[in-house]
Amino acid sequence: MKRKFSHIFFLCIVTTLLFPYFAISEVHNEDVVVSSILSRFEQMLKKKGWYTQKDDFTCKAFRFESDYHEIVAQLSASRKNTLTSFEVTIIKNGNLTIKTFTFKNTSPNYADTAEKIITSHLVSLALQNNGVSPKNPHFTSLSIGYSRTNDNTDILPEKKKGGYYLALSYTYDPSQLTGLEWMRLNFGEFLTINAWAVIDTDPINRNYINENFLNFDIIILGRHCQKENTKHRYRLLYGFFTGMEYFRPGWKDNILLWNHSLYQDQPHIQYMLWRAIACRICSTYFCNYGIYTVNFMVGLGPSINSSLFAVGWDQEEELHRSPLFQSLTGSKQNYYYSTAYPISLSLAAEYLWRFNFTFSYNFYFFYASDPAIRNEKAYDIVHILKPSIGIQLTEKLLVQINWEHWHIHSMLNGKHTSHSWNRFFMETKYYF
Amino acid sequence: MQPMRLTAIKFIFLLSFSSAYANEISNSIVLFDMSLGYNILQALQNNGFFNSLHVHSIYAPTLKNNQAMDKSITITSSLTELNGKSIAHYSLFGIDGKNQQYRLWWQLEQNSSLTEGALLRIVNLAINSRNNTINETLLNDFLYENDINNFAVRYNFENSENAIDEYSALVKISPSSDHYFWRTTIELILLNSFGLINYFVNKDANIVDWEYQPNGEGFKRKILDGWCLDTNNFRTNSLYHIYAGIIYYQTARSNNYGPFASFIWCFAGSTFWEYIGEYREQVSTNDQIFTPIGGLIFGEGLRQLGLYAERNISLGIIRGVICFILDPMRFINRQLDRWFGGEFTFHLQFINPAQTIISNAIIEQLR
Repeated sequence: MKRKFSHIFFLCIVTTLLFPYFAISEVHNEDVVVSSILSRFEQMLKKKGWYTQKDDFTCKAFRFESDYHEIVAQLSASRKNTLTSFEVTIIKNGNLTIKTFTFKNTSPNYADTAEKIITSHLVSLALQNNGVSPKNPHFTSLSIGYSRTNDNTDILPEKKKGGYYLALSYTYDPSQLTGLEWMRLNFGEFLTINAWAVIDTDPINRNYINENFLNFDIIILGRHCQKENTKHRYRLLYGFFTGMEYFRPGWKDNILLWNHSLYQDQPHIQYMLWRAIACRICSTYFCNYGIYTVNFMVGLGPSINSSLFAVGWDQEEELHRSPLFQSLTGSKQNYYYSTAYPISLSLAAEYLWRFNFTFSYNFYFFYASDPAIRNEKAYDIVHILKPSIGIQLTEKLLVQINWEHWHIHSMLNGKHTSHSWNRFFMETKYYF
Repeated sequence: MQPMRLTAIKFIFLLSFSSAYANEISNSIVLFDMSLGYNILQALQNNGFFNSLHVHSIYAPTLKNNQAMDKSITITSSLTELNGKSIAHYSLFGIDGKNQQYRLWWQLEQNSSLTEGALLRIVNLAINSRNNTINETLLNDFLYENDINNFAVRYNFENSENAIDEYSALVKISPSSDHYFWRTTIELILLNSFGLINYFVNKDANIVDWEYQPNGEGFKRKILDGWCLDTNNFRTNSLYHIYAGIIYYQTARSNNYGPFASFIWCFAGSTFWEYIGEYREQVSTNDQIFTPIGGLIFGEGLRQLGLYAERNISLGIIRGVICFILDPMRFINRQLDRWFGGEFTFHLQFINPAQTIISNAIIEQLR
């Protein structure tokens, strides 16, 4: 009898000790299944080129390929006797889908079956083409306005003294939509395009001042960082970029002869540069009192540019110009091959009681680098200062006035010359 | 003893022969055309299509042969009329590594250009599932491919538990990588040819740069002279060459190459132009820099802008014009892709042993 009691006692002890083990293992089992499903789903999305972020019960994924797609998958499990229910919540591109799956947890293949079925469900929703994300990573604006370039301090627009101004600004920036604290950016995952042109209102009398400018910048490798709380958000993007920039005072071939009066009346520079490599930092601070932005870029690369020393020549002088300006026959366009060191800085304060204030400074140093003309010791330095003030009429409409001061300093064979001019322009900018 | 030993040897020989035969069958694809006069699978076998899959294929004249081949993959074809169109219906019966029987089926128009591509994808899926479950193979390997556009699951709810009835997926059949390679090459040569026509139309402007005779000696001198900075006008160097680079880059990009590979293609296109197109001129260093680099930077930017326009502008003609301006080669190559590729939907169903008997009986009757 005593022995029988000892057996029962022993069994009770063992059962009591094992109970929490089973209880814990059962609870733990669901977590394991959830974790396993999400891991597998994450791996699959990664292989398909998505960026992912996973914690115990959530998997967030983003894909940028020329657009922005977002999936948030959440899993939760609850056990009721022999049945376990998994609630699967998916938000893909803003569309919410909730589905509950139930399995018998007593089945020997319970975990495998659940994993197989729920993963299939997640994958099916991830691969469905259910439209474009409501979050738009493309930021485009179009401007129209009036521009006037003056060779003196007279900056006010006068009738028939300027040109119509058209501008396009485009930024592809999907990483800021992710809300992630940081992420690596690969080639093409941030790019900016800026283009503007002036169409002369009186082309014949004013020698076709049709200034045109184009700038493309594309990220090679970088990083996006973000810190956010209820009151403010700080976003930093930095990395290596490559880009091309182009500026000309006109787009008609015939006015690019250097004895043309355009260059005598209004000395200009023209350039085309490739920023082979540039370091860029874009920092933005969002708060209740506006948006503050600092942009800085420094780079270097080969370029083609003109010089003030090739301005105002007559036909005879054209034939006896410096070897720096090589095109002795044919085109008669005087530029030289150089290495460019462009630096740009811009500061902006936007949405300050509907007002926007921006200030930018661009610096270019073009140094003659063609071996044939290295002895000419030539360089050109360009400074462009641009303050602007605008008023936000609506969220999508901005009216802005800008003033640009250009200063060029040219050197050739120890001789220096410089020239300054102003450009005043008003624009109405529409954000798409 | 002697006759007994001979019988035993004979028995062992027959056993080994039959097991080798069974093994051959189990690693084979059995083909069976069910509609009279529509022997597509036989035709494909005769053309050596199944040899490319590195598995033995057997064309089965009767279904009875199939029933013994429990580990084989059986493919059947049949032809039906649907809305006045002849539709080819294909089924693949297989058993995965965990002995789960399944059926994969898909439909195509009769004589569709996708027939071989679709068979290739589906048979590969079945072969890969021999060492795993069909589910795992589908989820692990097949769906990782980037040509799956839609994947749907049909569930059932039996005995208070969820289960999967059927999977279906929309598969995009794209031309092969060889096709893209040759298409890129031909397109770049064509683009250079258009450039060459323009070059000779404006011969008077270009003749000033001619330095070499159009013969072997001239070409040898051109190679030995190396590269130099040219004296072409600003517009040629900064606009036309970069535009050429954009087109080269977008050609490669729209033929499924990534940014880096497209840049290499762009450089190759530029080199071809400098050495072959402008064969009488010295190779220009600045053109060789600005053409591929400009192609990469502006080409990628404009491509992105084109995709943005494509997805956000709803009006057909306006969208078409804008997309063509921003990325003309993508516009052209997407049309070519439609001609050389297409889409099909396949379904995966799980079969239990009872279903197998029924389906075999149906096939037998159909035959």
